Formats: sequence, structure tokens, C-alpha cells
Amino acid sequence: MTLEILYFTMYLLSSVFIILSLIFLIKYKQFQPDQLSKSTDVYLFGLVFLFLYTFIIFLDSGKFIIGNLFPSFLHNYVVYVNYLMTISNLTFILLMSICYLTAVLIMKETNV
Amino acid sequence: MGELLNTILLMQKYIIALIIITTAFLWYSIKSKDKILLSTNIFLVSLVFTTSFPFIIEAISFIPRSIGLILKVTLIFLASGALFVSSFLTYKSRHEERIGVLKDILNKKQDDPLKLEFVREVIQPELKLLNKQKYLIEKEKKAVEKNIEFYKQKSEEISLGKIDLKNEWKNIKKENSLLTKEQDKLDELKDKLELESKKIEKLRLKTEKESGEIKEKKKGFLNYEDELNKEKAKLKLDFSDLEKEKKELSRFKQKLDEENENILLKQREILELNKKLKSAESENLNLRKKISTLQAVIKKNNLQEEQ
Repeated sequence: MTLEILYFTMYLLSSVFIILSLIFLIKYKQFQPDQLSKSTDVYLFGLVFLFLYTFIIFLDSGKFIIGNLFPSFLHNYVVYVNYLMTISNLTFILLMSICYLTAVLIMKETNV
Repeated sequence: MGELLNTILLMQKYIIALIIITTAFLWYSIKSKDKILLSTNIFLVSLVFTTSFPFIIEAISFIPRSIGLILKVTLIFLASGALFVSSFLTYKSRHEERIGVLKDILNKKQDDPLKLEFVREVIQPELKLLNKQKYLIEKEKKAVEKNIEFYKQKSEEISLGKIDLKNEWKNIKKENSLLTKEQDKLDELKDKLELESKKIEKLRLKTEKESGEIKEKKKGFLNYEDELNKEKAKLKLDFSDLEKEKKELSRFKQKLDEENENILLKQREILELNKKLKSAESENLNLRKKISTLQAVIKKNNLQEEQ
């Protein structure tokens, strides 16, 4: 139970940190030159996928809260979250890593 | 399905780890060879890429799953936290720096070299451009003023024309209303015509039927007429025969008349003869009586002699 609470808290905080980082990085984009905007956009996209992944894991780790608060709703919630988990495991991390690789390649091309 | 999904996920984990490691090496090579713009915040970008490192742990099989999960969560949390702190601090410092520069530029009392450079490099060319534009605008203004007088005259003409057009428009409206009325009438007439045409159609169908019947009758009549004509011809022939007979009869009648006359004459003659005969008969009777008397006398005489 303690471990579950720990995971839940850490995923929640990670999601919050990532979304705040996204906000500040978007704001920080105005101080950057136009040459960097393409690569910045791409790694920001990667961060969006990371946020989606952490948020879905956060929902998955919050099962025990739903079980305590709404026990009748737990089954439906678990089915729905399992679908989301499958999708996120299959797509989001792969897309995030591809976005980061693309961002590095763009940087290599533009900054030479 | 479940096994297949697990296999795909396992394969995908290795692919992801490979992509992340490739990204890290590429980033390191770019960074080490100084192929990056000075304005690039290397630390921030490195932290962004660091957020992907926890996903390499999943591909390492010798780390137990529970420890791997704890490591992954902790690393994600630390990387995202560090990224948040770093992005926030970087943004804040740059923002403050920019505000400071803007304040220095706007400060009138202080002759900042940046301010002078800004005036020289940015504002002066803009001023030159503005002066040029001002001169061009004044030129255009004069041209426009000339045009305005011309257009005023034109507008007066146009306003007169407009009044005429308004009057025409009123007339057109009136005509239009009349036309609409006419149109309504025409529509009514059209409806009536349609009704009439339907009636006519019905009548036509009737007349067609009747004409068919009449044709049939006509055919019958024609046949009848032919028969009549034939009979007429026959009758004519008969009539001519009758006339011939009539002529013959008239001739015969004439003959008969003549014969009648002859008969009458003969009758008269007969009557006369009858009269004569009667007279002859009476004479004959008288004679016979005389003869009988004579005979009686003779007989008496004969008897007497015999005796």
C-alpha cells in the first residue's frame, strides 16, 4: 500500500513537473533564435508524449483510490485504464524516442 | 493475442532503448564537436533527453522487475523535476534579463551604449523610412485632394443620376407590381388553361373514341352506300327496264286504246248487230211461229189428205 501511494505520488508529481516544464519551455522559446524553433518544437512534442504516458500510468496507479472511494466503479475503471495502458505502452514511448531522435538530427542539420 | 502483444512490447522495448542510445550518442557528438549555436541551452536540452533514459531500464533483463520499476519511477520523477526546475530558472533569468534590457532602453536619463546602438541601428533606419513614407503620403494627399474635387463634381452628377435612377426605380417598381399582377393573372389563366387543356384532352380522348366509332360507322355507311349504289345501279337498270316496259306498255296501251276503240266500235257494231240480231231473232221467232203455224197447217193438211 505504501509503495502504491509512493508510485501514485511520484507519477502525479512527474506529470505536473512535465506539464509545467512544457509551459516554461514554450515560454522560453521566444528567447531562442528562429533556427532552433524546429528542433524545439519536435522535442516539445516528445515531451507531450511523455506527459501522456506518465498521466496514464498515474491513472493506473490510482486504482487503489478508486477501489476505496467508488468500489462499484472499479471494474469499469480498471478495464478502461488497461486499454489506455496498452495504447501508451505501444505508442507513446516509441513516439517520444522518435521525436527526440528527430530533434537531434534537426539540430545537427541546422546548427552546422 | 496476449502473447503476440507481449512479444511486440518486448521487441519494442529494445527498439526504444536503441533509439534512445542513438539519440544520446548523436547529441554527445554534436555537443563535443561544438556544432551547436551559442544560443542553444545545452543543459536544458540535455535534461529533456534525460527524461527518456528511464525507459532503457525496461530493456535491461538482469535488473529485477520490482527494482527496475522503482528505478524507472524515481528516474522519471528526478528527470522531470530537474527539467522543471531548470526550465523555470532559465526562463526566469532570461525574462528578467530581457525586462532589464527593455527598461534600460526606455530610461531617458541614462545613456546606455545598447540604447544608442538600438537608436542607431533600429530606430534611425525606421525614421528614415517613415520620413520617406511621409513625403510619399503628402504627395499622395495632394493628388487625392485634386481627385476629391473631381470626384465631388462626379458625385453631384451621380447624385442627379441617382435621383433619376430612383424615379426610374419607382417606375420599374410600379411596372413590376403591374407585371406581378399580370403574372398572377397569367398564372390564373395558365391554371384555367391547364384545366381547359385537361378537359380538352378528355374531350379529345372522347372524340377520338367517337371518331373511331364514327369511322367504323362511316366504314359501315360506306359499305352500305356501296351496297346502295349497287342497288341503285340495279334499280337504275330495273328502272330503265321498267321504262322500256313502260314504253312498251304505253305502246301496248296505245294499241289497247286503239283496240278498245276498235272494240268499242266493234261493240257498237255488235250492239247494232245484236239489235239487228234481236230484230232478226224476233223476225226469226215470228218466222218460226209462222213456220210452226205453217207446219201445223201443213200437218193438218197432210192429215186431212191422208184421211
